[in-house]
This record gives sequence, C-alpha cells and structure tokens, in this order.
Amino acid sequence: MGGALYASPTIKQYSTLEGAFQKVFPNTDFKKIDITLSKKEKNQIESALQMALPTQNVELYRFETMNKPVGFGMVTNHIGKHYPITFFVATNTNIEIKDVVVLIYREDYGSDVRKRRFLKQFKGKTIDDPIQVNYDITSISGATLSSYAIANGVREVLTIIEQKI
Amino acid sequence: MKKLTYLILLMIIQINGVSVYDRDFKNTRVGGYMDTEWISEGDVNTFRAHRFIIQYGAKLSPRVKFNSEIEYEYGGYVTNEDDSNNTQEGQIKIEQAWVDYQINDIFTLRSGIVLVPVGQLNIYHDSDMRDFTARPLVNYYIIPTTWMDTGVGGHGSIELSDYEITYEAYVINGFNDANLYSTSKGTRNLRPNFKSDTNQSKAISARIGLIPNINTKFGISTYQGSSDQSLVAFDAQYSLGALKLKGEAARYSDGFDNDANGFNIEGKFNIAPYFNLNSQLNLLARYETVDLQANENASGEITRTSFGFNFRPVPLLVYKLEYSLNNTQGQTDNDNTLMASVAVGF
Repeated sequence: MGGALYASPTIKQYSTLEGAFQKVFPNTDFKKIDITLSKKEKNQIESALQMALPTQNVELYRFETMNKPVGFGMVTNHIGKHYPITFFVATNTNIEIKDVVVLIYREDYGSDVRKRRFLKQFKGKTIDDPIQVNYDITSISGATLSSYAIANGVREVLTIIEQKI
Repeated sequence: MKKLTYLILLMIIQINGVSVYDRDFKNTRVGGYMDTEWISEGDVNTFRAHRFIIQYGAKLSPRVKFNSEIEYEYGGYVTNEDDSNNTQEGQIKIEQAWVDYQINDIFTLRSGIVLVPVGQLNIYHDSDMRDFTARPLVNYYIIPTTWMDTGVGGHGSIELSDYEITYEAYVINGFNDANLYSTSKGTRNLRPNFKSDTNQSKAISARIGLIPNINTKFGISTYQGSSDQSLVAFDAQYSLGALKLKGEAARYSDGFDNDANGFNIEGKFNIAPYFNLNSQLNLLARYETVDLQANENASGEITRTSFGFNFRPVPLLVYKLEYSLNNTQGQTDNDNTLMASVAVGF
C-alpha cells in the first residue's frame, strides 16, 4: 500500500487492503494493474481535476468472477491537514462508485470521514458528477479538510479509471 | 578551547540527565489561525488586527492527547496603555489547554481549560471556519464566546447504525456569581478567571448532540451555576446540496431577575460549481436578534440582518465581505456596518 511510505505519529489502520476487497467485492478474484502515467497524461488529469496528483504511479485493480469483470478499484492517498489519508475507491463496470473504504488515517482529528453516513454519499457517482464539498457532498463538521481529501480522491480515481480502463 | 567548551557542555547535559532536548517532539503539532478585519460603521473606518492564535497539540500515546490554543488579540497589548498613552484593548489568553485520556470507545476524560459546551459556535469558533466576519449576537451577548473555564469532565459518542449521539459534560468553576450581568454587554462580564472559583461552588455544563444523517445535526446544551445562573441553548444545522442552513437559540436567566434571550439563523449557498470552480464562493444571509432585557418590553432588543459573500480559494483561506442592517431598540440613528476580513488557518 502506497500509504505505508508516509511517516506519522498517529497511524490508525481501519482496514487492510484485502479486507476492503472482501467487503466491496466478496468472493471475487482480482488482478493488479500497475500503471505509470506519462507526464502529459498526469498534466491532463491534473488540469481536469484542478489539483495536483500525488504520484505518476497508479495501482489499479480489476475484479472478476468466472473471468467476467465485476468492477475496478484503486488505492489513493490524499492529504487531510498534515498527513495523507489512504483509501480504496471501487467502481462497478459502468464506472460508477460502488464504495469507498478508509484504510489508514494519520491525523489526530477528522477520522469521522471513515463513517458510513459520509462515505455513502459517493455511491453511484460518476465522472459526470461534480463531487464537490458543499455542493453534492456534505462535509463532516470538524473534518472539513479530510472531507475535501476524500472527495478529491474519488474524482481522481474516476478520472483515471475512465482513461485507463 | 572550543573543544573544551563542548566537552563541558556535554558533561553538564550528562550530569543533568534527561533534558528537554532529549524529548521526542515527533508527536507535537503546531497550528493556528489569524484574521485581519476592515470595518466601516458611522465615523469608524479602520483595519483591525483582531486575532492571532497559536495551537499546540501532542499525541502522547494512542489514548492520550494534549491540545491548546493561545490567543493574541489586537496585537496582544496587555497593559491597556501603550508607550504613547494610547489605550490598547489587546490581550493574551489561553482559550483551551486540556488533556484527553480515552478510557474506552465511548468515553474520553478531559481536564484543563475547556471550551464550555453551550451551543456549537463556542466550540467551532475559529475565524477560518466561520463564514461571516462578525460573530452572531447570540454568541456575543448570551453565550459569551469565546467562553472557556477550568474543570474536568468527559466527551464521547455512541453510534447506532448511521445515527450518532454525541455528548460533552464538565464540572467547572463557573461564572462569577455576582450581579455582573449587563444590559450593554450581556453575560460577557460573568466569564471566570483561571486562578480561583469566585464562589467556591462548582457549576456544570453539558451538550447532547444528535446526528441522524450527514445533512442534519441538532444539539441541546445547558449551563447551571450559582445564583440560579442558567443558560440553555439549542443549535441545528441542515445541508441540502449547495445550501447550508444553521442557527442557534439561547436563553440566560439568573437569581437577580436578569433575563435575556436570542437566536440567529444563517444560510449560505455555494455558487462556485456553477462557474466550474473547484473552490467555494458562498452567498451569505443571516437574521439575528437578542433581547437583553426580556422582562421589559421597552428596551434591550438588538436586531441585525446581514448579507454578504465569501470566497475560499482553498479550504483554510477565506475572504469575507458583509453588510449589516443594525437596529437597537430605542435608538433612532442606527448605523449600518460594512465589514470585510481575511482569515487563514494553518
């Protein structure tokens, strides 16, 4: 998991990657697809998202049942206030958000973004949705920056999966 | 000679054992916020360096957390008179300094200087979090924000599916229980000092919050102290897409026949997405009223209606502009206020 690179005094792991796979795509096989975005691709995506991507390397996952794809997923890291939040974003084959699972949270405050009442707002969102805090996403009081981080990550994953799958 | 000095220094450190330099600072956080305001009202036309706040926090273990907030207001002059004999109204004060010890998943013990949990704005009072420059009237005259006190208590939350119930409750020194309530300043003069309890009798304050879903929050809260000093408050907020509504209502009464109440309702609408901006541009409106002499009909009412907007290029930076229509009962020439500010968190 990319997030393991980040040093923080407060590391709380809420789920393993395997646990997140089981929760979102139970009883499926998965294939890991390592992608390195070219500088041009990275720039294009950054300008579409109006934010900087943390890295050119992307870990995509394709989930299958009996060799038929059932969805895609990606692990991403976005900074809350001081430290990155590591989370798994999953889509179905129509590239609509199926679920978001917070894997590692490193800040002292704001971990309420891992709760269902916040994360379920993303279900069904597509690349055509704004996915913006204080528009179609309501932030958590006391966790505003973490709410932005998750929303940014979901938009990033939808953009990359749309372009690379 | 240099080597000898280093050797002596090293020996001193060795002899004294563990010094502050040996402490591991990797768990310490520094943050804060500041705001700078511009105000135009009647003859007043001024910039104001209102608040500069430093927050220090540390996580001592997974269950032990320290947090503090030190405020320098109006540049921090504390003598009330500078070298040119200009009166200064600045102050340096600790707004919070507490240690949390998480006993279990639903109860955390908190002790130190705590924010009194009456209403929501007293807790979330940071300038960069608020949308308007001026704090609401009810949070100035009735709930004397920023209101902190020394004491001990606890906080936590209980989750039932998507529902969450939060609580916060403290035993504190409490208000000064003399008849210091003022019809011009409300409850502000009652706020306690941090050295000793003025009446050697403790007060209690608590808030219970209910979060039924991501869009809705409610809270009821109270303070009960000596001389029958009592505050009760209700707060709520609701979000629907780009629209967010919130409000607080509070009532103060005491054994000296003082009675005051007030409320505010505030709305904001984020228009940034309509311009394809990944930032926030909020249109703002607020209506608020307080009655500082609720047991008299002829005086004490202050009403303010404000309109404005703010722009957040990034979540921790906000530029605010607002125009307020002021109305004080019994006053014929009410000046309206034009106010702007910039607030940044870090």
